[in-house]
Amino acid sequence: MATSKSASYDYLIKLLLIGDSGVGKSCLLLRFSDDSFTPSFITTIGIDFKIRTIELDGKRIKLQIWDTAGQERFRTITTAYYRGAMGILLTYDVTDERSFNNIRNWIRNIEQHASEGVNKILVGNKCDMLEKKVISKEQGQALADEYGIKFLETSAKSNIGVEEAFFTLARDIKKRLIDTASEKPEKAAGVTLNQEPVSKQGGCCGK
Amino acid sequence: MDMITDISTANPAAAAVGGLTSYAKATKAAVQLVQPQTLTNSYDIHCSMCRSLVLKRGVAKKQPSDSAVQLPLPAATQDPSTSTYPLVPGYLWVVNDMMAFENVGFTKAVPGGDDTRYLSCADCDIGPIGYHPARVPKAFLIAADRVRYNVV
Repeated sequence: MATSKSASYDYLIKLLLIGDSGVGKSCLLLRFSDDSFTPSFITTIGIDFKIRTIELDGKRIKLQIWDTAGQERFRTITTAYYRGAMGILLTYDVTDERSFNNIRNWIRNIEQHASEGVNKILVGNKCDMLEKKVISKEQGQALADEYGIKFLETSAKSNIGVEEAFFTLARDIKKRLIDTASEKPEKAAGVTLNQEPVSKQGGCCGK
Repeated sequence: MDMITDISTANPAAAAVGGLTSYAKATKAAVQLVQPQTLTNSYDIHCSMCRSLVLKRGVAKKQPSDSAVQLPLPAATQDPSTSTYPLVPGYLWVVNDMMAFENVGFTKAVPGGDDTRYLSCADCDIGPIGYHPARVPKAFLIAADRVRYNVV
């Protein structure tokens, strides 16, 4: 079979991007875009998720990264979205105090809906906008410490810290999977993927 | 895999183009994009706009294009209803597992349709570069002429 070898990987990790709308979650998923950020046909329809392949400590890791794609406007995210999630990038905008304050609400939402033990990382995006910055690095770190999670400032635009955020989270998850590997085989820790897009159809954002 | 490498490097036309090469240019230079024995892709497949790696070589199989399926014109076209692009005379690359992709984006269900989704570049959002038809759950298709090939 032509495709059997190709799909080989060591870990399959489902990640979610969570945070207020406008904090630049979608931009964290763009690597080679130029400044213009011209809205393409694809962004008009909306991205459901992306597949990324990374190599981490000699292991091939498939990341399936879901963007809330507008659901966050309702200030809540359904349980279906959280299903199978192994890691969450909690994102705020360092130029928007409201998005920072809302992180607590998002954490509450996660505690309600996500599976226990899900790894989290706090991400302060748009750190390149120094003149508009209202949330200091220290404030971000303090909040992360309060919840016992890691913290990074990123700039999707200037490509600062973005890769590191994904790699840090993936590394933590990989470690967790290894620690629990005695209970189940590696691949079984992954997600049943084909069901995901289907199950999302019933979600609150119609299109 | 080694066999594929040998055939690729032995291809004299490949040397004439080289690097990330468009479908049109590769075809014109008679580069063998399809591995003749296995009908798989001879070269790594990349986004047409950026260097994002979509599929590794030998991973996807050639499939004749399904003329019933049309994709909207990619790139700057913002109104999905304006124009479409039939998937002929090009062909498609098919994989049966979404995890066969190195990097790819899945859109939400295409408006007004069934659960069909477009595939896009994960790194610059250009697209559609292919689609995932609702009626064939295990088919993930990339239009051969909407991607570039790392001809080596």
